[in-house]
Formats: sequence, structure tokens, C-alpha cells
Amino acid sequence: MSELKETLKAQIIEQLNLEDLTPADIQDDMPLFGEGLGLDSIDALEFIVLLEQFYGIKLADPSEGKAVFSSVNSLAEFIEKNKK
Amino acid sequence: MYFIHKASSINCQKAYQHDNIFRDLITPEDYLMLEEVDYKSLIPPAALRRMSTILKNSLCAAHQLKTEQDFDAIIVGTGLGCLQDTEKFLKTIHISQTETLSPTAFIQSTHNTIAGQISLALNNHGYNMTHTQHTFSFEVALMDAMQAVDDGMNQVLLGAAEEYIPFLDRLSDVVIPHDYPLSQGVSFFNISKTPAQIGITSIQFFNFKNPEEIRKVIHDTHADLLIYNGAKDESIHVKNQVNISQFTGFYLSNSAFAMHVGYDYLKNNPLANKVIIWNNLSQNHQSILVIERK
Repeated sequence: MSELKETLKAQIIEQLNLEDLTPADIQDDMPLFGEGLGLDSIDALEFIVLLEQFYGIKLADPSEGKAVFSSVNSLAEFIEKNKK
Repeated sequence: MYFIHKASSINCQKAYQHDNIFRDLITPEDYLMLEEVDYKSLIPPAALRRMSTILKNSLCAAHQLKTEQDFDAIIVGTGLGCLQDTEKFLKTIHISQTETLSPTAFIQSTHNTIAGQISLALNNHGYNMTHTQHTFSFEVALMDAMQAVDDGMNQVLLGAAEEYIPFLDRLSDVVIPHDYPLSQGVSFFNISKTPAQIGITSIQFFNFKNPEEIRKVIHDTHADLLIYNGAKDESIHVKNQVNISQFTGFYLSNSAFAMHVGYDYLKNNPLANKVIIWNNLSQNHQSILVIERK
């Protein structure tokens, strides 16, 4: 799981062009939206693409997004549960 | 009458926040090397991370022209638009077979991106429009700006922006034959009906079926300086002539930088009264813009 989290952090930095950050700057439980990393609604769309592109997971219910994308921890748990 | 209150450019010359651009024009060693601008001091990091070169530079130039009063209109001309994002988006389509497309590249590659992004960044709710008309993109945007002023909009941000990507080299001669290397740049102006030192007198468009007509207009204008961007015409006898492409390289809207240089020339030479900007990049469709001291 910790390896997945580190991979996720690198992918988030790459996909969302967070070029001033390193994986070490993103804590596992840090809120990704709002006051944490400060991501926005376009980033949420990028997360949907990221899940599909790298893990083959389609977010079937968009209302799940808020909880799934809330932190690296929640993203990793969702991927572990749903990856094919 | 349409007055130019301020101008701002970013390209391979020293033009950004710089006075006396005309005096300091140099033939650059690298036409793609843009003047360095501190983006982070003007654009929030969250927005900056998504912006390509053309958007960052356009927004910095727009910031420089901001006044206490909001712009009533934001009007931009671009020949080829946001090429970095367009290329990224098309590559993603090709690789993913349209399955998983990144929204950012799509959003930023659309036609009205430049004026739209400036509007969003400045929290401006006025009219915004990006015009694309090949070598006339800046001139068409200028006409829209003049119309906006006629319609009562008193603070108009007018600009032109172009971005280089290496793929353009492969299309180079298809875009248009040119004598100088492909390059990039942005130029923006604050246009208003409120009187200022220098104004835009006229713009005329020509089909190049009769070059004599263009020569006659140029000679009859009695300008102190002629700035053109295409081939030199040896039969035109204006004492001071500058080919702006020699200093900017080739990009489709470099006539906007020519207007900035002309504006700067009039500002810094009190004895000069008129400058012609002759957009002759295309052999078939050309324009003559006159700016003068008021």
C-alpha cells in the first residue's frame, strides 16, 4: 500500500503539473482539495482520467468522487479495492 | 478617434516594462529565447501550473496594462492559437484512442482560450473575444477593438499572441514562406477614446492585385517611419524603414509588435508625427495601419 501511495503522489504531481512539489510535500492524509493542496474541479476531472489511464478503474458513481479524491489515503484504498 | 494609452510586449527583444524599444532593437541570436518575466509575481501558482507559454505571457502583458478601472472588453488576435496545448491534446487522443482525455489540454486549446483566460484571471465580466484570421489576426482584433470603442467601451485591452512548437518547423513553408526563423511573442495595448499622445488614425486592407495602390497610399501618407514585416519593396522611398521580422522572427501576428515599436518611436521622438505599419507577410492580403501623434 505504501508503494502505491508513493506512486500516486508522483502521478498526481506529473498529471496536475504541480512542478514545485515533490512527493515528500504531500502527506498521506493531507486534504487534496480546499485548504490542503488547493486542487479544483478541473483537477477532479484529471483524477478521473488518472484512475482510468493508470489503473483501469472507471468511477461508476460520480458522487463517490468527493470521498475518493479527498486524500492520497482514500485514493489508494479505492484503487486497492477496485483495481482489475 | 482611438488612442493608445499603454503597450506591453514579450518576445525575443527587450520590450517588457522597457522604454525606447525602437532604439534598442537588436537582431537576436536566438529568436525563440523570450525575455524573462517573473510569472510567479503576477500569476497565482494554482493557475500558473496549467498555463502554456502563450497564456503566461499574454496574462503578464495584460497585468502590466491594468488600470484601476476594469477593462470593458478584452480582444485578442492569434494566427495559430495555443499550440502547446493543442499538440498535447492531439497526442493524448492519438495515444489513448479517445478513451481517457485530459480536460486541461482540451480546455486550453480551444479557440477563445487567450481572451477567456485573461478575463478569468482578471475577474473581468466584460466582452471577450479571440480572433483568428491568419496574417490578419491582429488587424481583425484591432477592428473589433475600434468597434468596441465606437460602441462606448472606453477601456479596451487589445492584443495579439503567438506560440512556437517544434512541429511548426515541419509545416513552416505551408504556413507561409518566410525569410526569418519561426518565433513567438505577445503584444498588448490599452485602447480608449480618452485622448492620449498617440492615436490610431486608419486601417486599410488590400488585395495585392495592384501593388501600385499600396505604394501610393504609403507615399501619400508622408510617414516618418515605415515598419513592414514581409518582403522589402525597393520602389517604396520612405527614408526610415524597418523590417520588424528581422527583430522578432516570423510569427503570424508580429504586426502587433510593429505597432508597439511605432508607438514607442512616436513617444520618444517628439519631432516624428506618423508611423505606417504595413502588414505584408502575405503576398495576397495586406494591410496598412497608420498611427500618429495627436
